[in-house]
Amino acid sequence: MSHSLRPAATADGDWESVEACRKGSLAAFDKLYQRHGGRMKSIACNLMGNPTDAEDAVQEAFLKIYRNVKTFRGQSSFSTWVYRILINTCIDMKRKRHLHDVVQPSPVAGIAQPALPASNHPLRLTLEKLVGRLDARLRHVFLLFEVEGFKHSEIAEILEISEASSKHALFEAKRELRDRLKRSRIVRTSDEA
Amino acid sequence: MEHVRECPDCSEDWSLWQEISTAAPGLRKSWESSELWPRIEQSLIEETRHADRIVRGQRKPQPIWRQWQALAVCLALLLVSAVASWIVLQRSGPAVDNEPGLQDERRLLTEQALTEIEETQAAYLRSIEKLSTLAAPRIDQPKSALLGIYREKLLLIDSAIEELRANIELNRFNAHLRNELLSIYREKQQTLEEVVKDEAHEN
Repeated sequence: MSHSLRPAATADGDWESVEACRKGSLAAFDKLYQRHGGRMKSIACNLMGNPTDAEDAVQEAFLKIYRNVKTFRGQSSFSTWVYRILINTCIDMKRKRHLHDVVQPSPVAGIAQPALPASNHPLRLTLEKLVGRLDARLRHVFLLFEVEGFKHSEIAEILEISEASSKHALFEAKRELRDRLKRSRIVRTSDEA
Repeated sequence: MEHVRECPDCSEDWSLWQEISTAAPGLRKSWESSELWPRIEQSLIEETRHADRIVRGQRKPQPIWRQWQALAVCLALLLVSAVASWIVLQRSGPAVDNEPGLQDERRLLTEQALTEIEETQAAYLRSIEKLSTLAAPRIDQPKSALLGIYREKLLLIDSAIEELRANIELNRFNAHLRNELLSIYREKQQTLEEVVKDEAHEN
Protein backbone atom coordinates (compact mmCIF):
# COMPACT_ATOMS: atom_id res chain seq x y z
CA MET A 1 0.00 0.00 0.00
CA SER A 2 1.30 3.38 -0.97
CA HIS A 3 2.05 5.70 1.92
CA SER A 4 1.10 8.68 -0.25
CA LEU A 5 -2.54 7.61 -0.32
CA ARG A 6 -4.93 9.07 2.19
CA PRO A 7 -7.40 6.93 4.15
CA ALA A 8 -10.32 7.92 1.89
CA ALA A 9 -8.79 6.02 -0.98
CA THR A 10 -8.15 2.93 1.05
CA ALA A 11 -11.45 2.82 2.90
CA ASP A 12 -13.40 1.24 0.06
CA GLY A 13 -10.90 -1.52 -0.54
CA ASP A 14 -9.77 -0.11 -3.87
CA TRP A 15 -6.21 0.58 -2.79
CA GLU A 16 -4.89 -2.57 -4.46
CA SER A 17 -6.54 -1.51 -7.69
CA VAL A 18 -5.04 1.95 -7.39
CA GLU A 19 -1.53 0.61 -6.93
CA ALA A 20 -1.90 -1.88 -9.78
CA CYS A 21 -3.44 0.75 -12.06
CA ARG A 22 -0.56 3.07 -11.25
CA LYS A 23 1.80 0.37 -12.47
CA GLY A 24 -0.23 0.17 -15.71
CA SER A 25 -1.54 -3.34 -15.04
CA LEU A 26 -4.26 -4.23 -17.54
CA ALA A 27 -5.55 -6.89 -15.16
CA ALA A 28 -6.19 -4.15 -12.59
CA PHE A 29 -8.17 -2.16 -15.13
CA ASP A 30 -10.07 -5.33 -16.04
CA LYS A 31 -10.93 -5.77 -12.35
CA LEU A 32 -11.97 -2.12 -12.17
CA TYR A 33 -14.22 -2.63 -15.19
CA GLN A 34 -15.76 -5.78 -13.73
CA ARG A 35 -16.45 -3.96 -10.50
CA HIS A 36 -17.72 -0.59 -11.75
CA GLY A 37 -18.33 -1.07 -15.52
CA GLY A 38 -22.05 -1.84 -15.22
CA ARG A 39 -22.80 1.17 -13.06
CA MET A 40 -20.59 3.36 -15.24
CA LYS A 41 -22.49 2.30 -18.36
CA SER A 42 -25.82 3.02 -16.69
CA ILE A 43 -24.80 6.49 -15.53
CA ALA A 44 -23.29 7.27 -18.92
CA CYS A 45 -26.40 6.03 -20.74
CA ASN A 46 -28.67 8.24 -18.63
CA LEU A 47 -26.38 11.23 -19.22
CA MET A 48 -25.59 10.64 -22.90
CA GLY A 49 -29.01 9.35 -23.91
CA ASN A 50 -28.03 6.21 -25.80
CA PRO A 51 -25.89 3.08 -25.27
CA THR A 52 -23.46 3.85 -28.11
CA ASP A 53 -22.42 7.19 -26.72
CA ALA A 54 -22.47 5.70 -23.23
CA GLU A 55 -19.94 3.02 -24.21
CA ASP A 56 -17.75 5.64 -25.91
CA ALA A 57 -17.87 7.71 -22.74
CA VAL A 58 -16.93 4.73 -20.55
CA GLN A 59 -14.01 3.90 -22.85
CA GLU A 60 -12.83 7.52 -22.81
CA ALA A 61 -13.18 7.61 -19.02
CA PHE A 62 -10.97 4.52 -18.70
CA LEU A 63 -8.32 6.21 -20.86
CA LYS A 64 -8.46 9.28 -18.64
CA ILE A 65 -8.19 7.12 -15.53
CA TYR A 66 -5.14 5.41 -17.04
CA ARG A 67 -3.51 8.73 -17.92
CA ASN A 68 -4.24 10.36 -14.56
CA VAL A 69 -4.07 7.55 -12.02
CA LYS A 70 -0.51 8.60 -11.12
CA THR A 71 -1.81 12.00 -10.05
CA PHE A 72 -4.55 10.45 -7.86
CA ARG A 73 -3.66 11.51 -4.30
CA GLY A 74 -6.42 9.73 -2.42
CA GLN A 75 -8.27 12.84 -1.33
CA SER A 76 -11.46 10.97 -2.16
CA SER A 77 -12.14 7.26 -2.53
CA PHE A 78 -10.89 5.72 -5.75
CA SER A 79 -14.38 4.72 -6.89
CA THR A 80 -15.83 8.21 -6.44
CA TRP A 81 -12.79 9.58 -8.33
CA VAL A 82 -13.57 7.13 -11.14
CA TYR A 83 -17.23 8.23 -11.30
CA ARG A 84 -16.21 11.88 -11.21
CA ILE A 85 -14.03 11.30 -14.25
CA LEU A 86 -16.89 9.49 -15.98
CA ILE A 87 -19.40 12.30 -15.36
CA ASN A 88 -16.93 14.96 -16.50
CA THR A 89 -16.20 12.89 -19.60
CA CYS A 90 -19.92 12.67 -20.37
CA ILE A 91 -20.30 16.43 -19.93
CA ASP A 92 -17.31 17.07 -22.25
CA MET A 93 -18.52 14.61 -24.87
CA LYS A 94 -22.03 16.04 -24.85
CA ARG A 95 -20.65 19.52 -25.27
CA LYS A 96 -18.46 18.38 -28.14
CA ARG A 97 -21.16 16.45 -29.91
CA HIS A 98 -23.73 19.22 -29.40
CA LEU A 99 -26.24 16.73 -28.14
CA HIS A 100 -29.58 17.89 -26.90
CA ASP A 101 -29.85 18.28 -23.18
CA VAL A 102 -33.03 16.24 -23.35
CA VAL A 103 -32.29 12.54 -23.05
CA GLN A 104 -33.53 10.79 -26.16
CA PRO A 105 -32.56 7.15 -26.40
CA SER A 106 -31.63 6.19 -29.96
CA PRO A 107 -31.25 2.50 -30.74
CA VAL A 108 -28.11 1.63 -32.68
CA ALA A 109 -27.53 -1.58 -34.57
CA GLY A 110 -24.85 -3.83 -33.09
CA ILE A 111 -25.28 -2.63 -29.53
CA ALA A 112 -27.73 -4.38 -27.25
CA GLN A 113 -30.47 -2.12 -25.93
CA PRO A 114 -30.77 -1.60 -22.19
CA ALA A 115 -33.09 -4.00 -20.45
CA LEU A 116 -36.28 -2.25 -19.38
CA PRO A 117 -38.13 -3.11 -16.18
CA ALA A 118 -41.40 -4.84 -17.02
CA SER A 119 -43.48 -3.00 -14.43
CA ASN A 120 -44.40 0.64 -14.13
CA HIS A 121 -43.70 1.38 -17.79
CA PRO A 122 -45.76 4.57 -18.34
CA LEU A 123 -44.42 6.26 -15.23
CA ARG A 124 -40.84 5.16 -15.97
CA LEU A 125 -40.98 6.54 -19.53
CA THR A 126 -42.47 9.82 -18.35
CA LEU A 127 -39.96 10.06 -15.56
CA GLU A 128 -37.09 9.39 -17.97
CA LYS A 129 -38.24 12.26 -20.18
CA LEU A 130 -38.71 14.61 -17.24
CA VAL A 131 -35.33 13.76 -15.71
CA GLY A 132 -33.76 14.62 -19.05
CA ARG A 133 -35.28 18.09 -18.80
CA LEU A 134 -33.91 18.78 -15.33
CA ASP A 135 -31.09 21.21 -14.76
CA ALA A 136 -27.75 19.34 -15.03
CA ARG A 137 -26.88 19.68 -11.32
CA LEU A 138 -30.28 18.40 -10.19
CA ARG A 139 -30.23 15.64 -12.80
CA HIS A 140 -26.80 14.40 -11.70
CA VAL A 141 -27.82 14.22 -8.03
CA PHE A 142 -31.16 12.55 -8.82
CA LEU A 143 -29.55 9.94 -11.06
CA LEU A 144 -26.78 9.16 -8.60
CA PHE A 145 -29.06 8.95 -5.53
CA GLU A 146 -32.41 7.62 -6.72
CA VAL A 147 -31.31 5.62 -9.76
CA GLU A 148 -27.81 4.38 -8.91
CA GLY A 149 -28.19 4.30 -5.15
CA PHE A 150 -25.17 6.35 -4.10
CA LYS A 151 -25.16 7.92 -0.63
CA HIS A 152 -25.16 11.69 -0.26
CA SER A 153 -21.60 11.54 1.11
CA GLU A 154 -20.49 9.72 -2.06
CA ILE A 155 -22.39 12.10 -4.33
CA ALA A 156 -20.76 15.00 -2.54
CA GLU A 157 -17.34 13.54 -3.37
CA ILE A 158 -18.21 12.65 -6.96
CA LEU A 159 -19.72 16.04 -7.81
CA GLU A 160 -17.38 17.95 -5.49
CA ILE A 161 -20.22 19.58 -3.58
CA SER A 162 -21.27 19.48 0.07
CA GLU A 163 -23.60 16.81 1.40
CA ALA A 164 -26.14 19.53 2.23
CA SER A 165 -26.04 20.72 -1.39
CA SER A 166 -26.57 17.17 -2.55
CA LYS A 167 -29.62 16.76 -0.29
CA HIS A 168 -31.02 20.12 -1.33
CA ALA A 169 -30.47 19.34 -5.02
CA LEU A 170 -32.27 16.01 -4.59
CA PHE A 171 -35.24 17.71 -2.90
CA GLU A 172 -35.37 20.33 -5.70
CA ALA A 173 -35.15 17.64 -8.36
CA LYS A 174 -37.96 15.58 -6.85
CA ARG A 175 -40.17 18.64 -6.33
CA GLU A 176 -39.71 19.66 -9.97
CA LEU A 177 -40.39 16.11 -11.15
CA ARG A 178 -43.47 15.89 -8.95
CA ASP A 179 -44.86 19.19 -10.25
CA ARG A 180 -44.24 18.23 -13.84
CA LEU A 181 -45.73 14.77 -13.35
CA LYS A 182 -48.78 16.38 -11.75
CA ARG A 183 -49.16 18.79 -14.69
CA SER A 184 -48.75 16.01 -17.22
CA ARG A 185 -51.45 13.95 -15.44
CA ILE A 186 -53.84 16.90 -15.38
CA VAL A 187 -53.31 17.43 -19.12
CA ARG A 188 -53.83 13.71 -19.81
CA THR A 189 -57.02 13.62 -17.72
CA SER A 190 -58.47 16.68 -19.49
CA ASP A 191 -57.55 15.17 -22.89
CA GLU A 192 -59.33 11.93 -21.99
CA ALA A 193 -62.40 13.85 -20.78
CA MET B 1 -49.08 12.78 8.28
CA GLU B 2 -52.62 13.19 9.52
CA HIS B 3 -53.03 16.26 7.30
CA VAL B 4 -51.58 14.42 4.32
CA ARG B 5 -54.16 11.67 4.68
CA GLU B 6 -57.05 14.13 4.92
CA CYS B 7 -56.00 16.78 2.37
CA PRO B 8 -56.50 15.52 -1.22
CA ASP B 9 -53.82 17.83 -2.74
CA CYS B 10 -51.21 16.98 -0.16
CA SER B 11 -52.13 13.32 -0.41
CA GLU B 12 -51.55 13.41 -4.18
CA ASP B 13 -48.25 15.21 -3.74
CA TRP B 14 -47.07 12.68 -1.20
CA SER B 15 -48.15 9.84 -3.40
CA LEU B 16 -46.30 11.27 -6.41
CA TRP B 17 -43.22 11.83 -4.27
CA GLN B 18 -43.23 8.18 -3.32
CA GLU B 19 -43.93 7.05 -6.88
CA ILE B 20 -40.90 8.93 -8.16
CA SER B 21 -38.61 7.21 -5.67
CA THR B 22 -40.17 3.86 -6.51
CA ALA B 23 -39.91 4.32 -10.27
CA ALA B 24 -36.44 5.89 -10.29
CA PRO B 25 -34.44 2.65 -10.00
CA GLY B 26 -36.23 1.60 -13.17
CA LEU B 27 -34.13 4.17 -15.01
CA ARG B 28 -31.04 2.11 -14.29
CA LYS B 29 -29.71 0.68 -17.54
CA SER B 30 -28.00 -2.60 -18.05
CA TRP B 31 -27.11 -4.34 -21.28
CA GLU B 32 -24.67 -6.87 -22.56
CA SER B 33 -21.64 -5.30 -24.15
CA SER B 34 -19.14 -8.03 -24.76
CA GLU B 35 -17.19 -5.76 -27.12
CA LEU B 36 -16.67 -2.93 -24.66
CA TRP B 37 -13.90 -4.35 -22.48
CA PRO B 38 -11.83 -5.58 -25.48
CA ARG B 39 -12.19 -2.07 -26.96
CA ILE B 40 -11.09 -0.45 -23.71
CA GLU B 41 -8.23 -2.94 -23.36
CA GLN B 42 -7.05 -2.24 -26.91
CA SER B 43 -7.15 1.52 -26.37
CA LEU B 44 -5.19 1.11 -23.11
CA ILE B 45 -2.57 -1.02 -24.90
CA GLU B 46 -2.23 1.64 -27.60
CA GLU B 47 -1.99 4.31 -24.93
CA THR B 48 0.79 2.32 -23.21
CA ARG B 49 2.70 1.98 -26.48
CA HIS B 50 2.26 5.66 -27.21
CA ALA B 51 3.52 6.59 -23.74
CA ASP B 52 6.50 4.21 -24.17
CA ARG B 53 7.36 5.79 -27.50
CA ILE B 54 7.32 9.24 -25.92
CA VAL B 55 9.51 8.08 -23.02
CA ARG B 56 11.93 6.33 -25.42
CA GLY B 57 12.04 9.43 -27.60
CA GLN B 58 12.90 11.55 -24.58
CA ARG B 59 15.51 9.18 -23.20
CA LYS B 60 17.18 8.01 -26.44
CA PRO B 61 20.34 10.02 -27.08
CA GLN B 62 20.69 11.52 -30.52
CA PRO B 63 23.12 9.60 -32.77
CA ILE B 64 26.36 11.45 -33.50
CA TRP B 65 25.59 11.80 -37.22
CA ARG B 66 22.32 13.48 -36.29
CA GLN B 67 24.19 16.04 -34.20
CA TRP B 68 26.61 16.69 -37.07
CA GLN B 69 23.71 16.90 -39.46
CA ALA B 70 22.10 19.56 -37.31
CA LEU B 71 25.40 21.44 -37.09
CA ALA B 72 25.85 21.25 -40.86
CA VAL B 73 22.34 22.57 -41.44
CA CYS B 74 23.03 25.47 -39.06
CA LEU B 75 26.28 26.29 -40.83
CA ALA B 76 24.62 26.10 -44.24
CA LEU B 77 21.87 28.43 -43.08
CA LEU B 78 24.46 30.83 -41.69
CA LEU B 79 26.39 30.78 -44.95
CA VAL B 80 23.29 31.32 -47.06
CA SER B 81 22.16 34.23 -44.91
CA ALA B 82 25.64 35.79 -45.04
CA VAL B 83 25.77 35.52 -48.84
CA ALA B 84 22.25 36.89 -49.15
CA SER B 85 23.13 39.85 -46.91
CA TRP B 86 26.25 40.55 -48.93
CA ILE B 87 24.29 40.49 -52.20
CA VAL B 88 21.64 42.82 -50.77
CA LEU B 89 24.30 45.25 -49.52
CA GLN B 90 26.09 45.14 -52.85
CA ARG B 91 22.91 45.95 -54.74
CA SER B 92 21.75 48.72 -52.46
CA GLY B 93 25.11 50.41 -51.72
CA PRO B 94 27.50 52.64 -53.69
CA ALA B 95 29.36 49.61 -54.96
CA VAL B 96 26.82 49.65 -57.79
CA ASP B 97 29.41 51.79 -59.64
CA ASN B 98 31.54 48.72 -60.02
CA GLU B 99 29.10 47.15 -62.44
CA PRO B 100 30.81 46.80 -65.85
CA GLY B 101 27.97 48.38 -67.85
CA LEU B 102 27.94 51.53 -65.76
CA GLN B 103 31.72 51.71 -65.76
CA ASP B 104 31.74 51.64 -69.59
CA GLU B 105 29.04 54.33 -69.67
CA ARG B 106 31.01 56.59 -67.29
CA ARG B 107 34.20 55.98 -69.27
CA LEU B 108 32.45 56.93 -72.54
CA LEU B 109 31.18 60.15 -71.00
CA THR B 110 34.66 60.99 -69.74
CA GLU B 111 36.11 60.23 -73.13
CA GLN B 112 33.51 62.49 -74.72
CA ALA B 113 34.30 65.35 -72.29
CA LEU B 114 38.00 64.85 -72.86
CA THR B 115 37.52 65.04 -76.61
CA GLU B 116 35.63 68.33 -76.22
CA ILE B 117 38.36 69.75 -73.96
CA GLU B 118 41.10 68.66 -76.34
CA GLU B 119 39.23 70.30 -79.22
CA THR B 120 39.03 73.55 -77.22
CA GLN B 121 42.72 73.25 -76.37
CA ALA B 122 43.54 72.73 -80.03
CA ALA B 123 41.54 75.87 -80.89
CA TYR B 124 43.47 77.85 -78.25
CA LEU B 125 46.75 76.45 -79.55
CA ARG B 126 45.93 77.45 -83.10
CA SER B 127 45.01 80.95 -81.94
CA ILE B 128 48.08 81.14 -79.71
CA GLU B 129 50.32 80.01 -82.60
CA LYS B 130 48.99 82.75 -84.88
CA LEU B 131 49.31 85.42 -82.16
CA SER B 132 52.82 84.15 -81.26
CA THR B 133 53.89 84.55 -84.88
CA LEU B 134 52.61 88.14 -84.83
CA ALA B 135 54.03 88.99 -81.41
CA ALA B 136 57.35 87.11 -81.70
CA PRO B 137 59.47 90.01 -83.07
CA ARG B 138 58.48 92.27 -80.19
CA ILE B 139 58.70 89.63 -77.48
CA ASP B 140 62.05 88.24 -78.58
CA GLN B 141 63.59 91.75 -78.58
CA PRO B 142 61.47 93.98 -76.33
CA LYS B 143 61.86 97.67 -76.94
CA SER B 144 60.06 98.87 -73.82
CA ALA B 145 59.78 97.93 -70.14
CA LEU B 146 56.16 96.93 -70.65
CA LEU B 147 57.10 94.48 -73.41
CA GLY B 148 59.79 93.16 -71.10
CA ILE B 149 57.08 92.46 -68.46
CA TYR B 150 54.95 90.79 -71.13
CA ARG B 151 57.92 88.64 -72.10
CA GLU B 152 58.48 87.58 -68.47
CA LYS B 153 54.77 86.83 -68.07
CA LEU B 154 54.72 84.70 -71.23
CA LEU B 155 57.79 82.77 -70.03
CA LEU B 156 56.03 82.05 -66.70
CA ILE B 157 52.88 80.99 -68.58
CA ASP B 158 54.92 78.66 -70.80
CA SER B 159 56.62 77.04 -67.81
CA ALA B 160 53.20 76.56 -66.13
CA ILE B 161 51.88 75.06 -69.37
CA GLU B 162 54.83 72.65 -69.50
CA GLU B 163 54.26 71.62 -65.90
CA LEU B 164 50.51 71.03 -66.39
CA ARG B 165 51.10 69.06 -69.56
CA ALA B 166 53.54 66.81 -67.70
CA ASN B 167 50.93 66.19 -64.97
CA ILE B 168 48.21 65.58 -67.57
CA GLU B 169 50.38 62.94 -69.21
CA LEU B 170 50.23 61.05 -65.91
CA ASN B 171 46.46 61.46 -65.56
CA ARG B 172 44.74 62.20 -68.85
CA PHE B 173 41.22 62.13 -67.32
CA ASN B 174 41.92 64.70 -64.57
CA ALA B 175 39.34 67.38 -65.31
CA HIS B 176 40.87 69.88 -62.85
CA LEU B 177 44.28 69.85 -64.59
CA ARG B 178 42.56 70.14 -67.94
CA ASN B 179 40.61 73.21 -66.79
CA GLU B 180 43.79 74.73 -65.37
CA LEU B 181 45.55 74.23 -68.68
CA LEU B 182 42.65 75.77 -70.59
CA SER B 183 42.65 78.84 -68.36
CA ILE B 184 46.41 79.24 -68.79
CA TYR B 185 46.00 78.92 -72.57
CA ARG B 186 43.33 81.60 -72.33
CA GLU B 187 45.72 83.73 -70.26
CA LYS B 188 48.50 83.28 -72.83
CA GLN B 189 46.08 84.10 -75.65
CA GLN B 190 44.98 87.30 -73.89
CA THR B 191 48.57 88.29 -73.11
CA LEU B 192 49.63 87.77 -76.75
CA GLU B 193 46.57 89.73 -77.92
CA GLU B 194 47.59 92.61 -75.60
CA VAL B 195 51.15 92.53 -77.05
CA VAL B 196 49.76 92.59 -80.57
CA LYS B 197 47.32 95.43 -79.69
CA ASP B 198 50.13 97.47 -78.14
CA GLU B 199 52.09 97.13 -81.38
CA ALA B 200 49.06 98.38 -83.31
CA HIS B 201 48.75 101.38 -80.99
CA GLU B 202 52.45 102.19 -81.34
CA ASN B 203 52.13 102.09 -85.11
